[in-house]
Formats: sequence, C-alpha cells, structure tokens
Amino acid sequence: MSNISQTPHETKLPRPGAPPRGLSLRVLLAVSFAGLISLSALISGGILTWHNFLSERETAIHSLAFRAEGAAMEISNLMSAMVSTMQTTTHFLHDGAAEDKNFTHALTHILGKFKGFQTGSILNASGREVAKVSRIVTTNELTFVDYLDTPMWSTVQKGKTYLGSVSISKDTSAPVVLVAVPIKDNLGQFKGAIVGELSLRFLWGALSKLQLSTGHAAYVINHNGRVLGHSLLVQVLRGIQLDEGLTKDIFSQRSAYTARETVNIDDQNVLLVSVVLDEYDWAAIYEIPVTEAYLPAFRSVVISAIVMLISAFFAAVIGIVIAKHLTRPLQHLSETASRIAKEDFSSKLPDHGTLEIQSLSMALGAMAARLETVLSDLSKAKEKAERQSLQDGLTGLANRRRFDQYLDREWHRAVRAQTKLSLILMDIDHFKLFNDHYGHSAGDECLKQVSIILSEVVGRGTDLVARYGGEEFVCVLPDTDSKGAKLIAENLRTAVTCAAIAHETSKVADYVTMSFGVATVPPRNDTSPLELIETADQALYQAKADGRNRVVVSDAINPIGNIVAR
Amino acid sequence: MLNTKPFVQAVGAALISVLLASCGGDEAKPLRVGIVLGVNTFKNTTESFKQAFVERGYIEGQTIFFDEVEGNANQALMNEACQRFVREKVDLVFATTNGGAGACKAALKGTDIPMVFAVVMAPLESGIVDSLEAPSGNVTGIRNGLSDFVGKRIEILTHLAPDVTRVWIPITSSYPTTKHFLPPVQRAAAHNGVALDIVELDTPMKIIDYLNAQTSPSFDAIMLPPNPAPQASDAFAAIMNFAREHALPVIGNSVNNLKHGCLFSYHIDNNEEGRIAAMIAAKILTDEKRIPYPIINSEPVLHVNSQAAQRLGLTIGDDLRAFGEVLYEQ
Repeated sequence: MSNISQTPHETKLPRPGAPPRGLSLRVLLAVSFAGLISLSALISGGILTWHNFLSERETAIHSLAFRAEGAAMEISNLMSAMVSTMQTTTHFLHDGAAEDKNFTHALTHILGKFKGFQTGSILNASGREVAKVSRIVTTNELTFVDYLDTPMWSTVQKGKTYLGSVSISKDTSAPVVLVAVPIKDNLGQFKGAIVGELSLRFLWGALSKLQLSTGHAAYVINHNGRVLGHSLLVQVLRGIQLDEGLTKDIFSQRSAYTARETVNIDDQNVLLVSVVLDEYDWAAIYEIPVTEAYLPAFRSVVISAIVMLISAFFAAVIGIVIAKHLTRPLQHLSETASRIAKEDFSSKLPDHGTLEIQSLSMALGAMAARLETVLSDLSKAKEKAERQSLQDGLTGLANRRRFDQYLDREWHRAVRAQTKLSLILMDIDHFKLFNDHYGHSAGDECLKQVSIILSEVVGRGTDLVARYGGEEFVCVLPDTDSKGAKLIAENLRTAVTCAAIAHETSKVADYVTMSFGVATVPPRNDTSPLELIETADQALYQAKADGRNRVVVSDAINPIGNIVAR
Repeated sequence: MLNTKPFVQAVGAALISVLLASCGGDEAKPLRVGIVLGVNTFKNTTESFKQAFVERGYIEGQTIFFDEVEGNANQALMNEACQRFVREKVDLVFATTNGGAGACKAALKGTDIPMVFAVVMAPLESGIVDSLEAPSGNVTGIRNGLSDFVGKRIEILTHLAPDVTRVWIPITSSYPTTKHFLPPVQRAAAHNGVALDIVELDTPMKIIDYLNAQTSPSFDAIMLPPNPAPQASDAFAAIMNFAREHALPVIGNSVNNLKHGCLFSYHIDNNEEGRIAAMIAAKILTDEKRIPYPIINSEPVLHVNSQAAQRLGLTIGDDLRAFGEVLYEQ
C-alpha cells in the first residue's frame, strides 16, 4: 500500500468580482489582424513603389538621353555643315586665282552662311593671315596675326580640321572657338588654311532652338570641361568650366549616353545626361533639376504611399470588424455566464459564431440547465430543512426555537411601536397520568389533537402557537392587552374542554383539561422577553395551584410570587 | 470593449492630411515686372521681352504682370516711373536705352530689385554697371555694340554704292549715343575714302528746314544717326522724301527704316535683344543666389532693301546676299 498522501485537487479560480487582467482577445485579434494585413499591404506596396520609382527614374533618364542626343545631333549637324562649307570653299580657292577679291568673297560667303563666325581668315602656307573679314570690325581695324607656332597650325599642316578651345578674339574681344580647315591644291599639297572664329553665341543659337522648359539646360563642353555653348546665353559668357572629375567621367564613356546626378554651377542638384561627340571631342549635355527629373517617380511614390495607407487603413478596419465578429459571441457567453453565476437563467445563450463558440455555448447551456436543477433541488431541501428546524415534529406547531425567535422579534417590534405584548403559557392537566393510563402513543395523539384545537382557536395570522416542551404550549399574541389575551386563553380552555378527549385518570375531569397562565406587558428596552415568559409561567403555576383547568392572568411583570390573579 | 471610432477618425484624418499634402498645388505669387521703354524706337524690344515670358509659360495678367512706361526720352518721366517701381516693390525692372537704364539704376540703388537692360551703349563707361564680366548690384543686360559695328555701315555702303563720296549725317551732339556713334563712323569713312557732312540738327524742325534749304545737295548719301530728331516721323518723312527726290541712298538704323525706303540697315535685332533679356530676367527671377551675370554683347544683322537698290541702280553682290538678308525682292 502506498503511504503517499494525496493533496486534495484544487482549482484556482479568480476572486469573484475582481476585474479580469491581461490582454483582451478582441484587442489581440484586432491588433493581429490589422497589423498583419497592414504589414502585408505596406511590404507589398513598398516593393511595388520602389519598383515604380526605379522604373520612372529609368524613364526620366531615357527621356533626358533622347534630348541630349537631340542636342548632340543639332550641334553635330551644324558643325559638319560648317566644316563642309569651309572645305568646299578651300576647293574654290585653289581652283581659282588666289586674289584678294576672291579671298574676301570666299570669307564673306562663309560668314554669311554661318552667322556664328565673328571673323574669317585665309592663311598662306607660312601661317600668315593674308585676308580677313569681320562681321563687326571694319577692315581697317582688323589685326592680321601669325599662326605659325600654334597647335592649330600644326594640325592643319597635317591635313586635319582643327577645332580649338575657347579663346578671346583679337579683333572683337569676344570668346570664340577657332575652327580651321586646310587648303590643298590639286596635287594635295598644303597651301594654307581657312580659319574662322566661331562665336560661342552661335552654339547658343543652335541649342536655344531645342525649346527647353524652365530649369532645363542643354550645353556643349569641350574635353577640358569648358562650356562652349549653352541654352542660356549668359552661362556661356560666364566661362563655366565643369569639374575635372566630372569631365573625365563624361569623356571616359563614349559608347553611349551616361547619366549622373550632380551639382551644377548654380548649386542646383541636377540629373545630367551626356553624349560625347567623338568627331569634335565635345560632349552634349542635357540637365534638369533632380526634383523635376524624378517628379513622376515622386508622384508615383506618393500615390503608392497613399494607396498603401488607405489599404492598411481598410485592412485595419476589416481586422477590427473580424475581431469583433469573432469575439462578440464570446463576450455574450461571458455576460451570460456572469448572469448564470448570479442565478439568472433567463438569458439566451448565443447560437451563432464559429463551431467552437457554438460548442462552448451548448456546453455552457447544459451546465446552466444542470446548475439550475441542482440549485432548485437545493433550494427546496433548504426550505424543507429550514421549515423542519422551526417546527415541532409531533404536532406540526412551531417549535421552541421558532417560538424564541418569534417572541424576540415581536418583543422588539412592540418596544418600537409601544404596543402591548401578551403571552399565554398553557399545560395539559395531569398529562403524566394520561400517558400512564393510555400509553405514550395515545399521549402523542392527545398532544396532536390539542395542537389542532389551539391552532384553530388562535386565528390571527400574527399570533403564534408553539409547543413549549412536553405537554406545555405557548401562544404569543402581539398587540394584545391582557383582556384580549385572557379572552383568547378562555376560548382555548373552552375549546379543549369541549373537545372532551377522554382522560379517565385526571383529577380535574373525565376529559382533558388545560391550565393557562397569561401575562401582558408593554415591552421596554430595560426588560426582556424572558421576564414575560417567567411571568406567564408564574401565572400558569398559579392556575395549577388554584386547581387547574383555569386561566390566571398577570397584568404586569411583578416580582416573582406576586401574581395578581383574576 | 475596444472603441474603434477614435482610431478610425485619427487614421482618416491622417490620410486626408497626406492626400491634401500630396495633392496641394504649388501656387506661386504672380511676378510684377516694371518696364521702362526709353524711346519708342525700341518698342519691339519690350514687346518681344514680354512675348518671351509668355513663350516660357507665364500668363500675362495671371502669373506675371507687366507695368510698361513709355519714356519718350523724357528723363524726368523715366525717373518718376522707376521710383514708382521701387515703391511698389516690383520683382524686376527691364529698362531700355541708356536713359531708361540710368534712371532705374539710380532709383534701384539700395534695393534688392534686379534690373535687366537692353539697347544700352557703353554700360561700363556710363556707370550703369561696374563690370562687364561680373556686374554687381543685381544689374545685368545686353550691351548695344553700336560703336563696335557702326563703322561697318560705311563699309557696306561703299560696297553697295562704290560711287558715294560724301555722306550727310544730321546729328544731336548732346544726345548720349552720339559720342558712341560718331567716332567709329568717322574712322571707317576715313579708311574708305568717304567724306562726312556732319550737321548739328537737334530737332525735327531744324532737319526739315535744313533739307528744304538744300536745292542741290553737296552729299550723295544720307546716314541716319541713332538720335531721336531724325527718327521723329515728320523729320524722317522729310529725309526720305529728300533722298527719293535726289536719288540718294539712306543708311537706316533699324529694319523698320527699310520699309520707308532706306537702302540697308546694319543693326542689332531688337526682337532678339528682348528675347535674350527675357531669358536673363527669367533666370534671375528663379535664381535665389543672385549671382552676377556677365553683360552680353549684341550682335548686328544686315538687311538690304532690294527695291531701294533697284531704284538707285545698285547691285547687291553675292557676298552681301550671303552676309545679310535681302528684303522686298520682286
């Protein structure tokens, strides 16, 4: 046998009435649903937004590249036409007589065709200017210079076209780019060159045709980063030089356009797309403010963000609604269980919700039904027990306990109401002899009959007849003076006598008689019900002493032995 | 019990805020530009200035307001207009001619209102700017390079009419542009073997009277100087009638002069000056740094009147045809 003692099984229950602690299921569900769905919307939206942003950025760069290529093409075509005209003019020069008149005519033709040329010169084989025409300066004011030791001269001597950097014209003091084309005779011998001073304003004229929006800029730089032409004329004249690193970067990628974000001369963040013109070692650049370049992308991001937020908002609302839907039956169940705990079985349990909730509801219903039955049985048993605890088992009258409670209650009521309270204490005369003669069963039957008589005679609902003990009975008469009490006592005595219950061994009569002691008091706080009982008992004693089968009344509580009999 | 109402309201309010913020327009304050037209000859400059703003997307009367004052070479009137622009705190002033630019320069002193000028001769020498490369004081513009190229007019005249030996020029010495105009013309005339008949005639009436007195002119060509007197309608008409009567070539000051019979004009393109000025002004108005902008030199264009040449029995050579633009060809 195991000696292990088992502790009784304990169920820990929350203290009744205490508010529940912890997270609400509804909140938990709402937060979970709303959070998860919103998170999902945010993540997917974020990915899409980022994708859109990159896509829009790419589109912006492509668009810029297209414009940069347009600018490059414009410049390229212009320069090609210009160089081509100069080359054609050289043929004319070596074909015809090399006279001053022809030189001037040829140069005027070039200057007329290309308004960008500030001056046009013809150099002889020694690098000396032999003819010159200026758009602005009069012939007599022109300077004639020697180009012999210049990079331009060494280039044209090799039969190549020369495109110089920015320099200041000796004649017009304007910033110009020197363009030179070699002159060769029919045998291919070098005979000199045609040189033009190309005004930087000329390239502006070409670039300004691009119809740029405000904030946009198209320009051309040479390999040193010097701006040769700019869609905004003043920028050319400001002699802008691009950062060396940026210039290197632009010219390092000649295969296609390149795009980069940078800060321009005006300290603006710009998106810059460049296309290198290999033929001239120039680059065409198109730039727009970063904010404008990415405006569609930013708009896309804003719209996506708004859509994401709206989705998240509706997801949260839907989450809350679902949480509410799920938890509402539980809340109902909880409220119903609370009412059941208060023995209110009238509430209807929810018959909707999820299967689990319906199952829980049914179980709670069954439990409630069973509880209701148990409580009902318990209540009945309790009532019965209570009733039995206050009733005399033999006679069915109120027992001594009930009498004590009733007298105490009526005593206090009489004290509060200042009414009189009477008590009749009664006893069957020579009942021992009855028992001895007829036996205890008959004695019990006698007691029953007397009880019935007493109950019948004392008709007021407020009066109480009780078995005081053995053959003694007592009757409490609230709001009754001694006269009334005596009358009732006499009625009782008469009724018992009239019942004529045989009592052959009685020394008073051949039938059962009873003696009555009546006491009446106006109860006071300084007295007690016990005194009333003792007074009634003394009166009863007096009635017995006087020969039994009589009523003795005591009007007031007097010292024992001082009964005023009537 | 979870009360969702405040949450929904808060999120709704946040969403509305985001929507409003993202959809909010970027309404800019309309710009006010004060314009001083020095003389009416350059009306097309101010017109093209305004038109260039419209072409750049501005809407006149909504996003931009132009307040143009016609100075008519009246310095007091221009001074008063510029002072009013300062009082009314315009966003930018555009001034033409030295008179207009000078008036505005004085009125704008001590303010941060930028000024763009056009058709201004020798802006450095006349004190309108302190540097051609980086002028300070929010002032920039286009320099009228008349003194650079005006000598070419004599050269072109001798090219078109090789028989010309003496050119009459009615001059107003006191007019500011005269000092920029006359010296290069005199140099070019000397180089090309042409004599100049420079006569001080500072009112239209004096010009008319002078011509009426010329029964047999001693000169064989007329050059219109950039002075108001010969540009006045009655004086101009008298000059052109005189030239027609005596078969004299007239060198004009602008392309407009050609339609009244001038042989040619080698001049700045006033329309382009206005467009370039507008381009600079637009840049300045959007440039918070207010960096100095270099002064731009105007570049001349040649226009030749084919009908006038034909009437005078002159031939326009291919080189000049290439160099400039021939108008009114039949």
